[in-house]
Amino acid sequence: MNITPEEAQTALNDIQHATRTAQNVFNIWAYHMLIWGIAWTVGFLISQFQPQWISAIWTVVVLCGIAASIVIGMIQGRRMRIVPGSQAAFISSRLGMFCGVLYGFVILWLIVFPLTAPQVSILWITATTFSYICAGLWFRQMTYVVLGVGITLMVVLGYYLLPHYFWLWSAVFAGLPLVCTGIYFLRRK
Amino acid sequence: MASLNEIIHQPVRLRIMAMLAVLSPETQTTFAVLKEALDLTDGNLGAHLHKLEEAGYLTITKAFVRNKPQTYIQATEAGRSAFLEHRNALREILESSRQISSNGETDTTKGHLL
Repeated sequence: MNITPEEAQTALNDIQHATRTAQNVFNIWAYHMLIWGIAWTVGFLISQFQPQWISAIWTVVVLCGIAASIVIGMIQGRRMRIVPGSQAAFISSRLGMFCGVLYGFVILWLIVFPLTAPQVSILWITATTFSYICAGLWFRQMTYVVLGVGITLMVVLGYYLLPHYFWLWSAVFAGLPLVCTGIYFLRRK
Repeated sequence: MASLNEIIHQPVRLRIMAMLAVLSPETQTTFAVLKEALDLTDGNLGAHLHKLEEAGYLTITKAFVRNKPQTYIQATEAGRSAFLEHRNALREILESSRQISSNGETDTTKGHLL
């Protein structure tokens, strides 16, 4: 089979276009990261500059984030599925259970221990990054591991070194990296 | 040197394989999603999927989800490898064409300089 360079270029353009379409259709994690990245960034910025609204804004942000995540999950559930009985299905169900238990314990600790607002934030951020690191290790996706470790280190650093600017620091080093990673997943070739 | 694949090179089948290759190995998509994303009719998409299935490049699974029939499509390992090899062959053709044209330009430049 012989083709001209022009035909090869056309075929490669078709591949690139189809790949981009597929990334937009299938990339569930990218959309979750975008939603929670935007939610965190908005929440932390308002916490920094309008601290009197902190409870109200986080209630709204978290409820909106959960609602959006559920909608995306339902849409993606109609578009794709993990092969039943496969190893990926087994790992996914275990990861789901693990995250359920993890976030359940975080809620328990929030009820039991008297934590300050920044401590509550750092608990949620590190619980989330912990789940990213575990997911990255189980699915062998180093991007999640690097993202989880990087956000954890930066947020802990900001918590101890810049307590007065902790919210702003978290918006930049916890919220924006999620947004950027989500965009990267949607646009990578 | 990678070789071109006649079955995959057909434009619709190329786009089908490119979309399926984005999914992780143990993930399936539906007939309806492919049909909408690629803007094809049922008959057209079905014929191309059948051709790719015959070649062993994808599997088609029919299942009932909430009492509704659903057709799931998944690229096989052989399909992924064949698609990647075809894509590499396309890139090699472009690369070698660029090299030939740049060598030609260099020779011309040399000619002018001499």
